[in-house]
Amino acid sequence: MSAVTGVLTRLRLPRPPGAAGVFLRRLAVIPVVLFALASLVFVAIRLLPGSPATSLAGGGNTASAEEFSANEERVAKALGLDEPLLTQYGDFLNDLVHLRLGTSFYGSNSVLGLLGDALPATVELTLAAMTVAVLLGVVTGVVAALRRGSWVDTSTRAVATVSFSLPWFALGVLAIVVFGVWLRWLPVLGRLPSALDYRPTTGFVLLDAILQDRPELVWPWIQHLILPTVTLALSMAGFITRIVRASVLEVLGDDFVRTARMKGLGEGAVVRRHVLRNAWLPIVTVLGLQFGSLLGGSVVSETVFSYPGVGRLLVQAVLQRDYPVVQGAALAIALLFTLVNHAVDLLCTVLDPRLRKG
Amino acid sequence: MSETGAAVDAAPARAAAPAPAARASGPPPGASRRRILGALRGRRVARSWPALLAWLLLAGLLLVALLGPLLVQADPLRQTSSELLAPGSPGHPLGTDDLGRDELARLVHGARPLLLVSFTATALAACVGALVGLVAGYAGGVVEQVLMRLVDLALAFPSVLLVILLVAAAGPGTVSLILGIGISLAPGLARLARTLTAREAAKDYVVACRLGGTGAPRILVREVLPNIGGPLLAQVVMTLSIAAGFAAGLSYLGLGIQPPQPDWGYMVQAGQEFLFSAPRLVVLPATLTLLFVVACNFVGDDLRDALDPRGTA
Repeated sequence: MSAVTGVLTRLRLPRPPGAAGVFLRRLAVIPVVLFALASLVFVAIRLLPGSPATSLAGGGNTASAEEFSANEERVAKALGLDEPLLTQYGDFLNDLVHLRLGTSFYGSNSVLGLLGDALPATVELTLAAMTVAVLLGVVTGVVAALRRGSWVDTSTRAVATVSFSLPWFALGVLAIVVFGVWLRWLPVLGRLPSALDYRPTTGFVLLDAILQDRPELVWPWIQHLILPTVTLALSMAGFITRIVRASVLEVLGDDFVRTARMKGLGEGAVVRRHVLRNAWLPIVTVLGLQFGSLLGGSVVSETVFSYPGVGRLLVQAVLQRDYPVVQGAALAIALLFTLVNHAVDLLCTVLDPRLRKG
Repeated sequence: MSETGAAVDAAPARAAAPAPAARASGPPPGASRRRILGALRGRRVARSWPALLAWLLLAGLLLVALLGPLLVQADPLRQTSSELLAPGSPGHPLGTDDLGRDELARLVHGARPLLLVSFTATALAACVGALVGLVAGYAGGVVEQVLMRLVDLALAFPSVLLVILLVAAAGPGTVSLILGIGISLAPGLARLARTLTAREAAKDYVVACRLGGTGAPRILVREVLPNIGGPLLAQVVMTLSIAAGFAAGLSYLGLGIQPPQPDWGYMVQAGQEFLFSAPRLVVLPATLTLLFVVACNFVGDDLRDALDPRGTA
């Protein structure tokens, strides 16, 4: 169960029986979580030391003290920071509900527009990374479990341990040097070459390639996606490998596996039809939990590869002290995280009817 | 808690005593404070060759960070405009960067921020986490509920995002980085500390202390902490590698120590501009960062096995 639902199950909400009831209860919980996350973002940006007004008024130029404080006041007024905190909080929530996320301090881009451009890119990247990580993690995990104690098992576990907290940026940068600079196999930056003149309809390249009937978009898109995806996936695959290995080992000892073998099923069929089906649940649960660190990883990874996603948007906004964008990007990431977590929880209830009783 | 408070508490505690007594078989009263460090005694670390290698690597990097700046004569900040992006030479063994600064000196000096942030942030996370966990686990009731729901909320947030928000609010810099990483890693430790404390608090020797009139802070520090120290410390050393990964990643993003001071993470970012002309500017600091974090990871794994052989943490 995810940390998010963990909070809520402890609130002891009434539990309607049946799968539909569970579904509705989980859906009802999402706004509550989002409210909490939004409040956290609000607190982080407004209440901690270092007011946006101070840093904006400073702005790099050495103004006199009076000029500075006048500047500061002006900025604070423009941002509504001179209002009482409770009023600010009310305004913040009101704007949020109406999806008024403001405009960037730099240029006149609306935050919503910036997010609309960046979110599909991040979703593409994280989905691709998750897919690769699951494939890699499940295969290595199953092999390690079946060859328990062999050198394959030992080395897989060592690699899995290392990959758990690898600094993604260092790995990504080294991958760029090897595959992009030395071997020249893959492009090193961006999402698509500008020469292709990609104009998003949905923002998802694959969908747009179909909608706009431009198949020439697909191959460069895949090429650009390979390095960031693999870098991100490696960090996650190690964790999945460990869980898969443990969970397969546990199932392998069960009676029904012995029965399956005794009735003459081949080892491959035993693993596919009996072991994996029962080992899926912990794997899916972990996927949900790991999605948070995947999103975190994408913040760094997008910057490394100059990939135009929400993570890069957030980092640039933080460095430029572009607070409306920081707020919007942080909320978008938190929203993505919460939604995926709940989707995973639902998937778990589908996979294992026992969980429906809560 | 005052002495009178403890005396008042004693009545319900006496009534509840038989239940925990049935399963409690904790250490004798007055368990020694040395237990935390003693947890390592008699258990060998660095038993496998990867672990040994990791210990040596970590020790080597620490030595470089501590002594390197004394041994390398060149000034990491001095720019020589005649030698921009120069390859290795006797004067500059690893060449110079885009501003003509000695790369070796920058690498040696750049080790300090990463190591400083990693270790200090881990220590901060350990202190905050242990404090919150001890108080919540021992106090129970409303205090526990409030503290633990806050912890859950923090855990429900992707931790990189939490650090970035904290750094965004406080402005980039070493101190912000330490605070951000420390605070965002504390909740995980707090949760573990609470579980361990609650388990320990039900044991006979703690109940006996309380009945004897010992105040809560003294019980927590002198009795409970030494007994949960092993598993807790095991988790703390695992946290070190996560902190190191964070510190490196965030300083790469430019949220850590500010230029022109050398720092491995930021050197990688700055070097990316010269990927094709001077890839060593990226390869060297990136490899060192990778080695440091991997070494932390292996050492943490090794120490955990030694500190918490039963896998409580």
